[in-house]
Amino acid sequence: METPILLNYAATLFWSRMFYKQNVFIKSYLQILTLLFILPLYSQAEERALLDLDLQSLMKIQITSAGRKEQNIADVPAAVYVIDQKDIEKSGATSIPELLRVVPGLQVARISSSKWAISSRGFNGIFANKLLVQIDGRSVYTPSDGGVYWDVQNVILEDIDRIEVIRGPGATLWGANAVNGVINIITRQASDTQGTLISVGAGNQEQGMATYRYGTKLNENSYGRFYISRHDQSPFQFSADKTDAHDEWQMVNSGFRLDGDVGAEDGWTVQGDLYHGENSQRVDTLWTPYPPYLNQVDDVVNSAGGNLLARWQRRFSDKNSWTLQAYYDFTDRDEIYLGQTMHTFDIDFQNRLQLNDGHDMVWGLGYRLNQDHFNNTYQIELTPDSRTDRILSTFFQDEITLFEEILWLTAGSKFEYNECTGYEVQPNLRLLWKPEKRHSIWTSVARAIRTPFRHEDSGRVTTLIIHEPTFSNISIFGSPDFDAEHMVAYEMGYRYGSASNFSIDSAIYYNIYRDLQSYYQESELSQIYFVNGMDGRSYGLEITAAWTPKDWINTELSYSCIEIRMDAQNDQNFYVEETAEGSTPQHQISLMANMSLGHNLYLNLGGSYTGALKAAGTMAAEHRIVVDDYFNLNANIKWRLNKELEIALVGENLLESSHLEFIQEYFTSPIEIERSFYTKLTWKF
Amino acid sequence: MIRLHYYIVTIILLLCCTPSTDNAAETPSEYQIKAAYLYNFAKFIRWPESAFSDQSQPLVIGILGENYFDGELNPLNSRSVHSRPIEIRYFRTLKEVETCHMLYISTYEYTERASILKGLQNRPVVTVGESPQFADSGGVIQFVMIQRRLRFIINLDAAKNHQIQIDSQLLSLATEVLEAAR
Repeated sequence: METPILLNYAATLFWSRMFYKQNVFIKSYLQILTLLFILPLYSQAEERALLDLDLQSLMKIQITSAGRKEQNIADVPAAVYVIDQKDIEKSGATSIPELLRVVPGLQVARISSSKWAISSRGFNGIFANKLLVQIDGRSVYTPSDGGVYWDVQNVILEDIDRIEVIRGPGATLWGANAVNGVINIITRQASDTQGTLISVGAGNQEQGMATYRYGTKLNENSYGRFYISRHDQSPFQFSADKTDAHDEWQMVNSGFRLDGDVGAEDGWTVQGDLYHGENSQRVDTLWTPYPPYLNQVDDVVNSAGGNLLARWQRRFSDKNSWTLQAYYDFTDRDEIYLGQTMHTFDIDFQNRLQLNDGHDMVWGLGYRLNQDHFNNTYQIELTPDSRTDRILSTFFQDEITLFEEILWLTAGSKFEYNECTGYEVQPNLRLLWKPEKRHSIWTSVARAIRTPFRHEDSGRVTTLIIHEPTFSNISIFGSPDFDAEHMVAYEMGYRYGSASNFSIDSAIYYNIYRDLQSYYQESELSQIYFVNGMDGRSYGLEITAAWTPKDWINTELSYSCIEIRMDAQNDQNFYVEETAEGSTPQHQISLMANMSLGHNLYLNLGGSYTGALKAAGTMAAEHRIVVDDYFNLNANIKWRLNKELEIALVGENLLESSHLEFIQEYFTSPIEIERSFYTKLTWKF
Repeated sequence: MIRLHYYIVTIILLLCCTPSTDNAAETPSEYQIKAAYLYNFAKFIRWPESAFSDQSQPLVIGILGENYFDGELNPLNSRSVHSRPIEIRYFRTLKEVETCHMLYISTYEYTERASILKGLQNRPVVTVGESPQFADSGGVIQFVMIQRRLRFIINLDAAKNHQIQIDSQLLSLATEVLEAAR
């Protein structure tokens, strides 16, 4: 179940023998300590003056991205926010969802210790299905239920190069289900993560976290790294009575990455990860066909998974390059109301071509195979319990320079064939105008679709059992007639950037939705069906201003607002309109300040305001439970003792001892997020 | 209980680590390497007699525009090339550039770059840059990043226009040499 690396396996066996009676955690940290002593310390004895090297030697040196300066960030005609490694260092976040909170236009709400509802431009929920998330080009969107399980997306934060968040339809380049946004998590190359990194932390909510990573040069042309990490999180409390919510969890993950060059034109990457986790959750609405019918159960969710990815890039010249990538991913998740295993195989080819007459083109081909297996229960049943879905796709995009340095037109489309809904076309047209050096304006129109997930086209979910006078099970049924959701988005944005200390990035949008998922029930006690019965529109504004008033402090202010208007046929008692309109806060503000206090001390503050949720889910809408608006403050102090050692003291959710952020649509009662403190020690050598 | 183990590991690490020997030499940064390249270029380039007033005049290497080098060029001040001491200068505008033998042009703005290259026409100065199509637009040497390694393109015609002679050894190491077909 753990890692494939021989050395670590040997250490595991050794410690298992020695301490077979102790709990798993002791074995984990002993493993880490063993690796500390077994693997050689990274050393670089050579200290030749750079100026004394001859040209041939200079030409062999690889430049790490740590030494790179971003001077010419290409203007992108889209609403993009980039979180880079420096931002990650300054934040006290311990997981990717927490890092995403500062992005305007994204809604990040923590449901419980291990669950988050994250969406872009509305429609938030635990299975928010209009946002595509990828790690190094590998999709982590779950095709069975339409969401992302954030608790198993555990990339080591120190190994993330950047997170690109694109709000708005990313359909043309990334395909279906990128309706309202794409999150691209890109990890650092192995040559950028050399040496040993050990970090250990503990606190009141973050019970403990430990990471070990080792990177080394394998030969003249290739580098590699290996990591193992573990995270334990404490439970939060129920909103209703402040008792323990039994939602603690632990996750162990491990992985590697190898990068290499072949000649001057080719480069390759191979990477893989494995994880194993255990989450606890109290399930409040578990239906059984015998008394008491409605049960409350303490469940332990076992999750495990892994992936292997390989990529080859060839660069003919500055203007012509191609990439071929293939990956295999498997995830296994075992919950009391459903067990599921997913295997994904994907192969993708992309070619970038620049022609002298002002055309910068990208085109690609892709094939994906998803195979699922479900362990059906009385509560949730998928029929058939195993299915293989194939998706074939191609896309092209051309950026045409209409007037050099002033006006560009980007046109493109993605064409997909999937076995559920057949052919889908997602075209996109964008215009970028730079009237003057520091100002740029862009506008876009695009069409995007969201394909049905398994519950919607072949599932049955029990929602009610009536046992008197006769036994009756009322469920929500999926049907093969359930169609894809459609959206057309009109967007516009403005950017102002002076080279140094002040910049503004803003975007407005108007989205028109058709065939959104809703329900149909003929009469009060008949069966319920998923139908595409809701249309609507949404519009909003996102704006970020970054200001560096003095060289020791930089600040950033973000604001976003959104208005959603939905219209469902036969809304009956399902509150789909209210839920779509009320599950996203109308206003969100975030303010960050990062300060260098001198003496190697750094102080980072982050404040935010999140508006109220009038109807976080069907259950909330029905019982008129409102999630109140809240202010939040996070703060952290970092002390760099020397080149190798850093200590951090972090406080999160400081303003209130606990607060509610979201109510999960079904299965669990509302859980409040508590104030948290932790310390962390990081050692790099 | 679990928390206790994390605290134990933290304490062990605090006791273990002896922050002393700086044995992890950092890999050089991008601009440290570019500074070394500029120094090496100068070694393989011959300027015309008219570029210098006398034998002892320093070889001026200048930066025009935003200074991404920070202090990385300072070590060059104590070095010399062709028995001339190197002098590093920083310029904000083209007007300020009087005596200069090698000029690194920071700007990525095409119109600004075009006017700078035009203003330096026929002057005995080696223009170096890294903006896209710098060499195509008349710059003498353009830095390019290939597979995370720094390489360079030489525009031999532009060098000739600036009365600069480039050693064949440097030309052979260039990724690309641009010259009009004979």
